[in-house]
Amino acid sequence: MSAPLAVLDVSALLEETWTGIPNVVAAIAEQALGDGTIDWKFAHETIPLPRNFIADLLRQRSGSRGLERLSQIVWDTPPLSQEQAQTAAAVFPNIKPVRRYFRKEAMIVHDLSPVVTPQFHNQPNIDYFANRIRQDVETSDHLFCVSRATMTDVHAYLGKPLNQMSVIRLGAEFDPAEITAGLLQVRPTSKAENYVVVIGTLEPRKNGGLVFDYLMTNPGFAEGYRIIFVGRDGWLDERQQLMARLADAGVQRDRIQFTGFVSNAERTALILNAAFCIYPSFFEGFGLPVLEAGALGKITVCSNSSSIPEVFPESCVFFDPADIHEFSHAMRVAELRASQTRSGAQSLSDILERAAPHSWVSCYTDIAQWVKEV
Amino acid sequence: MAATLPYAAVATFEVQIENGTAVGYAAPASGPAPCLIALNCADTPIAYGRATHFSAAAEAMNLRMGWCGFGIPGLRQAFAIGERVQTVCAVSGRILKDIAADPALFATPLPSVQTLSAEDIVRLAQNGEVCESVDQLLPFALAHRQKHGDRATIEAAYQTLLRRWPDSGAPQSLDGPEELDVDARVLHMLKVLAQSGEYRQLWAAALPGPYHVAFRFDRTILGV
Repeated sequence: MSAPLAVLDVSALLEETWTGIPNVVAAIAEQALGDGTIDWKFAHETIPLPRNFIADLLRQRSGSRGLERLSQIVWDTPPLSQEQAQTAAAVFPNIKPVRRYFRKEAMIVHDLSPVVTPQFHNQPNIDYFANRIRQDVETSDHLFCVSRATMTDVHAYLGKPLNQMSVIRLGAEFDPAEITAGLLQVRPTSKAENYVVVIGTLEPRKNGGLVFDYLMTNPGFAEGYRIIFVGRDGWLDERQQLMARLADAGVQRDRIQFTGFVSNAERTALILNAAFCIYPSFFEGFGLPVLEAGALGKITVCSNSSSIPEVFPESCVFFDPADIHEFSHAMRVAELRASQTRSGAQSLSDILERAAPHSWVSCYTDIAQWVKEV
Repeated sequence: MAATLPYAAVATFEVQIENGTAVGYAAPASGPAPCLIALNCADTPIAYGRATHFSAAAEAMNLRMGWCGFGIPGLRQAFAIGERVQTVCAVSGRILKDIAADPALFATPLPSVQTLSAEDIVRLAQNGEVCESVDQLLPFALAHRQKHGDRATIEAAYQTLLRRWPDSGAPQSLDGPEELDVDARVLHMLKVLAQSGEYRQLWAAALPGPYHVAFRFDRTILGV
């Protein structure tokens, strides 16, 4: 029996820098490339892309120069015809470029944030999302939701029957060379300064301002720990607003730092050597950084909203993201728990063993199983 | 670890021990993927390193313009666990070097502990995958210009050094001082960017090498 034909839309891989959805697509594509039981075609919309093109993108972890190469492919390669498409299952890891074009279609729904929490988005983003999502959902035979919270939202807001949806568990995998690069356990003459990391792009939804509110009433914390905001700039000038509040916080400017975009290796090293992590977001479809921190053995002071409590509850200290007092209490608990974990002394084997159950295999297996269903 | 390893089996290599670190170079027979080397004690991995640093010895051997060097720490930890310590190709399992226990490794007292800032830790994580100077970037920038033209070279330079696209203040072409030839003009542009206030203000600023995720120049001159 021949392998079933399936199409994976990898358009997100053409983004210059990979965070969030491109990283999810990359992980699924890596698994798909190694799966001989399905005849995977990788596509930008309906344009099939050569496998070596996908391998190159995965190797460079960036879509840099991808559009240039795509523009040539578009001239050289005809799109998948409707006749071909009618023999294939298609998986769209984000929005759908076509609807009811393939024999059966599935879509990954990350969150309905622009609909559920529009106050954190600009109008063009809300319009774009809202105009597309209802029809995308309606025309999908199956939806893979990245959390139970997202599945509940899709059912409640868009009326998708629960039997046409399932939850996939996103993964966290680490290159062992990248772990080693930041592993002080193999460098006995080095130790890390005391610092905490606030993970995620800088945008209002991520609620980084709460950390500043906390510092205004607890400036002594910044004397004990440097605060490192890890992630690239988002929108609505969040970074400028946060920086403007530095003076009010009563802490020295160099005690709070913004990294901008960092590579996977750099982010892994920062998390690995932090005293603990902070993830104060108001709303998340999943909260991949919480999983990554947990897999690396780190405590996270973590918002209890939306999907976040589903991610890695055993390594989190939860708080209400709108309540500064709960956050203050959670920070004290995290400081105490972090001092008891000795996570700074982990060996490479410890980390790889802990991270192994959180690989992308489970996520991909669920998708592959759907593809193989008649 | 990812399902499809982005690494290739070692074909050519050299491993030496220097100050408790396994250093050397390793290159595959062909293809774009670099090699991954493990430092094992018995079958327990102590540390890994990818062969993506610059190595003068590899350059002398005409291997990937030298960009296949590695340095793997952890020898002291490995010998603290057991005696059978090896460097191994992580793809093929081939043993590259059996490392003999050196009594000096434990006899020598460790230097005092140094506290690393968060920025230092990121520099550590960049793990040698950076260029020491713009001179090391130049061959890639020139190859990029030859293949993709002036404008694309300016864009790649801004992306690589400043992590952003060129804005209206960026040069529109590689015009430069009359006395300079094109190669010198490319080098001049790289130097101007690397000496700019914007570059120096980047957090943990570094000049990305060809295997760093921020590197945007054409890599095909590596022979990959």
